[in-house]
Amino acid sequence: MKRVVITGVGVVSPMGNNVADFWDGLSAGRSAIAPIQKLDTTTLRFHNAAEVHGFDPNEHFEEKNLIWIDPFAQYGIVAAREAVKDSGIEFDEALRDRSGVITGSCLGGKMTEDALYYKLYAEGQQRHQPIAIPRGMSNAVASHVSMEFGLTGATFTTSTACSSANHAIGQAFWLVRQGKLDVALTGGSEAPLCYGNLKAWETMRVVSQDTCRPFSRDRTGMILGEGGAMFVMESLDHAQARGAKIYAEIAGFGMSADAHHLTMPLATGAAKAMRQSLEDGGIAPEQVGYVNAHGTATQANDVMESEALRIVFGDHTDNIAVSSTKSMHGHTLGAAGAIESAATVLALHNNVLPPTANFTELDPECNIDVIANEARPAEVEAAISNSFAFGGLNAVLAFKKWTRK
Amino acid sequence: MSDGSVAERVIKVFAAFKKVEPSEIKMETTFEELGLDSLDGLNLIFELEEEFDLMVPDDKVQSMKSVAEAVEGIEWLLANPDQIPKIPPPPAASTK
Repeated sequence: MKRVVITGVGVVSPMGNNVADFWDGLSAGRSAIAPIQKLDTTTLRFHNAAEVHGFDPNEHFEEKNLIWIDPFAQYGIVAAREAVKDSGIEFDEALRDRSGVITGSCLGGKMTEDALYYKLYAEGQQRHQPIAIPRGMSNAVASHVSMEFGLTGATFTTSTACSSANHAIGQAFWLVRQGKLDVALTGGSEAPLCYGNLKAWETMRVVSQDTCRPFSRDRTGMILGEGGAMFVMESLDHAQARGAKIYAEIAGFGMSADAHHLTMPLATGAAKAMRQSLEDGGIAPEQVGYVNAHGTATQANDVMESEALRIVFGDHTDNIAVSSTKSMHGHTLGAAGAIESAATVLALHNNVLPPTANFTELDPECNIDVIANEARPAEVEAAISNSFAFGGLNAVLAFKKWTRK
Repeated sequence: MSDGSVAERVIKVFAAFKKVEPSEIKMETTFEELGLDSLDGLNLIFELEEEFDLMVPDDKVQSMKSVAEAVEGIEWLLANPDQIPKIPPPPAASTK
């Protein structure tokens, strides 16, 4: 089996629309959670989210193409372009044949559908532009990116709610490790901030009216966010042959189902996915020094996740620094695994562990070492990034620091 | 508006939700005793919102874990209508 590395990163996020700005925000512990500006929230019980700002689609797409691309796909495509540019990879005919695009999204083009349904049901409009189906499909990013770079290898999209991107990145990793692909462009994106979807989240009563405070005693729930992140992932052989810079090694992937409840997570299910990611990567628990937690700041998740960490790491849990970067970029649902993998990979690369922003006081039921509010300089050997979805579907990625060998 | 006291109407909603006779629902009965998990509980609160034509704020939901607490919460909301989120028409959809 081949070793697999990350050689390019691209991000569109509430902290900025490129990797440099994203990392500046992360390492400074700057939360991008603020009152929603995209739409009027008077009729909602919550008013805050982590929105993408300063993203002008017309800077990135020709007008004739833009009508076919939902915001979720715009974020994914722009992130993919940055990752490709960053990696310095050049696709020739042979490499295009051996490269694919694997993306995650929970909602797909929900903003497009929301706008169509509003015109249909509220305004009674019967004629519509023929754009909703191609804009709405969850695989739009995979399709657009494959067309843009001419990649003809395995290309598809996973949709497993909040684990979507981790499942996608895990599949890409396994395909490259098995030698089915030499290069995968992989990640996820989401644009969930439309009225219909916000109303649907309101009914779940898990969205905070304040901000996102993972693992804090006084946390009040999650905050939605939007954006996307994409990676260039390739076999180590391929990366070294072209002299690529390497951010980190992706070493393991684990997944599991709780088989328990639609919305109440189970620590044993989360623990199983974490343990499998380590076993898959040949990583001993003691090698792990950082966990980018799922950390939604709901009552249920944070206690469950802390228990799961104890199950997997035992006493070594005390030596693991944990943060939930959702406190800064919000919960980006199907993009969460991608944006948080970007945070994890950059943390390993830069020897700086991003903090949990908005942190007040540790919930005594969360017996873990939370990086509170300020980034922590630390060189760690291995790190995992957790995603746990509604419906009890868990996906965990394990990364190792790349030291030149 | 249906007839009956708030308590009677709440009990009626619980009974319909659990598909049992209202006489089987006691004031001290908790959601847990009715076999309702957190998601069922949210759904039941929605049925109460429909019955009383109001919206229950999130922080009120936290304190509704039994029939008596639900009655208390609804009575408080009916007595404090300014605390009930207003329901104006929805905004226009965003299209970009």
